[in-house]
Amino acid sequence: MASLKGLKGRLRGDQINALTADVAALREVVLNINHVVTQLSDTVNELNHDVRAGAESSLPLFLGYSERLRLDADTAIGATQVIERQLALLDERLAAAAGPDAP
Amino acid sequence: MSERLPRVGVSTLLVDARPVDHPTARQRGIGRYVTGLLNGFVEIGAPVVALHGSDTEAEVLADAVPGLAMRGWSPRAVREHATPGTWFLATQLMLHPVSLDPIPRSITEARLPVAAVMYDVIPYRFPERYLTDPNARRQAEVRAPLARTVDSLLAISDFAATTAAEELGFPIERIGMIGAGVEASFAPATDDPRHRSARVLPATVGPYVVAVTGGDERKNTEGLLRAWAQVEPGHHLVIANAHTPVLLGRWTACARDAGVLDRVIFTGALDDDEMVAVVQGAALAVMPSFEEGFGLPVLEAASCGVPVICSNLSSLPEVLDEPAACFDPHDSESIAGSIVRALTDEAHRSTLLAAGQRATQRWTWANAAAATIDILESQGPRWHQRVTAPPRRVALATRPGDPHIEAVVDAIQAAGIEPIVFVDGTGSAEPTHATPARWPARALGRFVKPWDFDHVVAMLGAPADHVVIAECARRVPCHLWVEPEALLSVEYGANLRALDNARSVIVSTSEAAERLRRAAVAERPTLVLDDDGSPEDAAAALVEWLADVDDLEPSTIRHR
Repeated sequence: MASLKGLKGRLRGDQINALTADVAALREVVLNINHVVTQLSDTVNELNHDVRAGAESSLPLFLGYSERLRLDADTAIGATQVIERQLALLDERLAAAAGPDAP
Repeated sequence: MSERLPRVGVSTLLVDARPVDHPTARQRGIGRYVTGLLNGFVEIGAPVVALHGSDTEAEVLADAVPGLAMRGWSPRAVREHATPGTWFLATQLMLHPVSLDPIPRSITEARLPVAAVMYDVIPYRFPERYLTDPNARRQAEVRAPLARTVDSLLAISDFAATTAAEELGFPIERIGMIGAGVEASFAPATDDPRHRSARVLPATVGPYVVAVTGGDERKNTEGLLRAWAQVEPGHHLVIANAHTPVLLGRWTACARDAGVLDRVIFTGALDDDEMVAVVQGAALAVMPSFEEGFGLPVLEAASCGVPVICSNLSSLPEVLDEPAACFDPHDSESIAGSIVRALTDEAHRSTLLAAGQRATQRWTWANAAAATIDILESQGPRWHQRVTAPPRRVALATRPGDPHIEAVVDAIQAAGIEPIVFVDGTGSAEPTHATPARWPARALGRFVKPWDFDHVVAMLGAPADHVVIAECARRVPCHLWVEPEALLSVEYGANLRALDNARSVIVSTSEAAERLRRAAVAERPTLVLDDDGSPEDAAAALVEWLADVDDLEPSTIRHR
């Protein structure tokens, strides 16, 4: 915490604002991923239930669920790419703010 | 936040060439845009390296862009160019779905500045039409923050630039306009084009007006059909594009209601040569869209020496830059009046032809390529980033209980490389123990991209145990480690395709090497391990092999 306070003292106002905005953006993306993952979990539970029921009429439902799963997973993968890039940019800004001797 | 950064020239531009063979992208024209832009870079001698994701993409590129420097996507390719002055050009940022991986991990890890081509933000502008599906909406929500992480956007028109700034919240001063060009085949006809368009246009058709539109509402095909009723008979209207039976039914009903069905021809799907011929043979080309990112058919018709008129909305007035050529696409009278004038007023036709000629000179792939370099050099990176080599990674696809895997993982780690293990549980009741460093084999090529790795090693054991790995090896170029129990399935079975797709082959005996060489279509570098050696010896030999294999001749056979 002390090092963060030290860092804060060396940051310009616009840099702090940008960092705050980035952290908020990250939080939003993570919340979205949590949302998607929760939906994935619900879908898997429903799928399990239908598989156990084993009725032939459930087959179209299985296919629908698997398509939903695939698309949700696609979205989650895309979201992690956003996070990776935002973290990389955040890392660089913090390093720049910490000065040339930073690791 | 933009910082004042020193200006650095573009020393290398890594261009994502994967859309050239993507079926959807080719349909939408993004694949063609990438091919055209790459041709522009070659024409102006720009320091470009195209990164492709498959052998098929490489073949398409070699054919379509002679003289282009190419590399397969891998961290190694990025590592070799990870120096200040290198940029990455993302060409599929706006291509659905976002899991197409528009900015691969190694680019972010190398901290390279990224520019992305901005085609349009039409789905964001009309979410009630294009983002009604919850999945599409979520993907769009993910794509917008991803777009905000890039250093520059390269819009294909001023309209695409301003709308991207509004819809994505991207700083307008970091968006440049690069435009587009047309394929060389769109040129004035040197013969009678009707011979080449005979399949899609009846021999009896007289003079005609062509419209390259589409089924999307924003293309306004039905508005054009209604306006056609106000044009005196004498010409046919040719709607030149692919259509589904449902769409054809809708258009036919619209033309019948307007009383013009006998004066309209719907060509259906055309190949490239037929499209050129249909445009070349037209008396006039019309583009009635409400919204386009650029409006390539306008430029294609102009390049064929055909007078063009277009809607006065979105990017279209920019392309032609001639107010007298534009009409209000919402007003049938305005559309019809423009068509009649362009067909009958010779002085006006000359004005339209002159406007087309100016457009043809302005919008070229060479100009788009030069504008790209100019914008990147004048804007520079958006943030200070320490360019660094991305880490080395190897994917190991194996099955539970593989006798070599632990030793291989240790040896790879000892060499300073990160191993990621993919476990195929198809032939086993044992748990695969998935962790962040140990994935289910099905994820490889699907959720974990093969181009995130310097090497992918597919370890084939008994056929029942490697169903998923073998399936993956048939799609992704791997180093195929063929254990004795897998030999027959590779030599004669379904896995022969994996062998033909392999980057190299690893076997236990000289006899196995010989048998696989006879079975394969082409030679592959081959490593022969010693049957009597320990797993540690085999692992050490594999690590040495992976360090050298990219530079080996296909005929190489190395014995441990």
